[in-house]
Amino acid sequence: MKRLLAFILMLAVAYPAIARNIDLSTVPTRDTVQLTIYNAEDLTLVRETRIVTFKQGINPLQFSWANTLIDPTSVELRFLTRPDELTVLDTTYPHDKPQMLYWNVASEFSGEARVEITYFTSGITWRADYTGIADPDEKTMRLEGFVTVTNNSGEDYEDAQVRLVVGTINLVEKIAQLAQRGMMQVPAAGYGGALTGRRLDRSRSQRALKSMVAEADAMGFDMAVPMEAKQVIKEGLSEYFIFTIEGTETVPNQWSKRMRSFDAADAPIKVQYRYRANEYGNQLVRMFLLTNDEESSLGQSPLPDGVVRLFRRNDTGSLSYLTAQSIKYIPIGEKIELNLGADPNVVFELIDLRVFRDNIWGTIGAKVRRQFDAPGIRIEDRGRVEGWDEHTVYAQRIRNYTDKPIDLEIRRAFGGDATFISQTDTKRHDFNTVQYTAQVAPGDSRDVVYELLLRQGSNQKQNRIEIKNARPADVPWLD
Amino acid sequence: MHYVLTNDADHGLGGESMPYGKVRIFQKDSTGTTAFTGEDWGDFTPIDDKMKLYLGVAQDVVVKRTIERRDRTKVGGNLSHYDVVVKYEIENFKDTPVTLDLAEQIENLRAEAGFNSGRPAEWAIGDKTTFSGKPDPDESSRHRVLFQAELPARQGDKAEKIVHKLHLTFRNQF
Repeated sequence: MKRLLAFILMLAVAYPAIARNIDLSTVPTRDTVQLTIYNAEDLTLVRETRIVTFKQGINPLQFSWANTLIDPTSVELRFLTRPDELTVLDTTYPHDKPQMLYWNVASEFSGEARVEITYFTSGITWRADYTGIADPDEKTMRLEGFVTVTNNSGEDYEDAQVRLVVGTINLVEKIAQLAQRGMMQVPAAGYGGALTGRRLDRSRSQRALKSMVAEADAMGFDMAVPMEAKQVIKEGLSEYFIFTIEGTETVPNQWSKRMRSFDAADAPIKVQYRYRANEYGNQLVRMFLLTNDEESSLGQSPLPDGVVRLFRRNDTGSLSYLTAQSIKYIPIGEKIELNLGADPNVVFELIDLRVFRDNIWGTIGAKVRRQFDAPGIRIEDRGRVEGWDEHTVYAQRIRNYTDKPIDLEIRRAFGGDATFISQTDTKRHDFNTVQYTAQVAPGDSRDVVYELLLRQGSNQKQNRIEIKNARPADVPWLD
Repeated sequence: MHYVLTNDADHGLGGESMPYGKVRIFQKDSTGTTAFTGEDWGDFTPIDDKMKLYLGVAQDVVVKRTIERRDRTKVGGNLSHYDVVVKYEIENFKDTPVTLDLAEQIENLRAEAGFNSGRPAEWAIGDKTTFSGKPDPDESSRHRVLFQAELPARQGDKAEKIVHKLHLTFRNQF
């Protein structure tokens, strides 16, 4: 296998005459490597260590990244052993060798030292997925979580410690674009990188590289490198959740690896039927509710975004496929809500029973007519209705044809100045939405009857719903 | 003409839910063979629920429907009450008794009678209604009333004419 990231120690030959035709020493191999992979962005932090033999004086170290997707501006070198005696004086990007840099390292000793190189690369991604198998009674569920790491970065990573970061970070530029561009190119204000495309980017980067090299020459590449390094301002990093995969993994380029991240054997589930038109559409859906907590043998970590595939174990031991859906990030202690869709064995209908109007108001106006061929005057009331209360009586009919009692939670939104009149257990979910619950025994049918009072026309003073615990109006044709 | 099947043990069914699918209906004839009498899509039918199948137009039951009365009572300004009476003259030319479902769409009736304001209809059943009892509670709502009429079989070549009236009062129309 070819090594794509070549890390080369150049012998400290007569310096500064190293810019051309230099001898290179053997390539030290990676000692350890750690990958920190972010799933919210195409970003991986690579942290590798190598043993390098230094000579006293100035040591140019060569680092190249041909055919990979690393961000050249992010490459950094640190010394883990004898840091007091080793200093990076500067970093140089030679014009004739794209995708390569030199570090000029001042060493106060001759001998081995462990160095750490960090950089960002794109092309390594991870994602989570889950498999849930409910027991035949739908009381508990076995929930397994998996993570899959895919390496398309152009580089093999052997025996790497893999860490996966859950959380959304902010990146102002895509690493994949930076990898295509040259280093050191500062984007202009309002940089339209997304529009330019890779080909254009590359030609820009080559131009940029040329001008950069020209500048470097003008600044005097042959100038003696000062012993003092420039100061760098350090920033802290906010905390995200990090998954560390035990041991090390080898993920060659263009390979994927799927690993189990947890296995909760008997997570209790609650089955609830929900009606929320703006979330689940105009249908009653069946939900499995779990909690990401210790009681469910979960709660060790948040659950990252991923696809859940749900099955139910049948009494015969076979599996029935229920659904597959994406879940959003679930913090520790939060509910996991899995939507199984409509259940054909539960019939859910809203029946309008009656409308009536009262509290009718109008303007008063009159028109006087005289009969011309005979004595007589008629006064006509020309008033118009302008405000009224409209009462509608509804029956929420639920028929449970399953063999289990069912729990329902129903939310309905009403526009306008409304009062929800019912004797069922109702609460206000938001300013115009009510939520009520119902239980229906197996084989049973139940009507939740409510009256909606809508103040119309000039009677409307508000735009919100009130709840009144009272008997809804009678329905004469039915009662 | 509709068939209504009930998915329960009393009707030799009820073992499991019947999935959605096509139902073909054949009828035994006098020669001992069967004749195809129609087909329909049967909805998913849970145990104990009903499956309703439309078989075709019943040509031997004749209904003549007229709006017999339409009276307006002015309340004030543009606010009025209306009384509407629909008359059904029904003849059953079949040699078997028939149960006839008569469904009246409220909004359509109001438009027919010419006072459809677009606002929901506030209606009640009036005292001139001749149907006995209340409308079918499972088939009626505020948009539709459904009454049933029992029709006797044809006697010889004479079908008895049955007359029913549906009286609806519409209140607070404007």
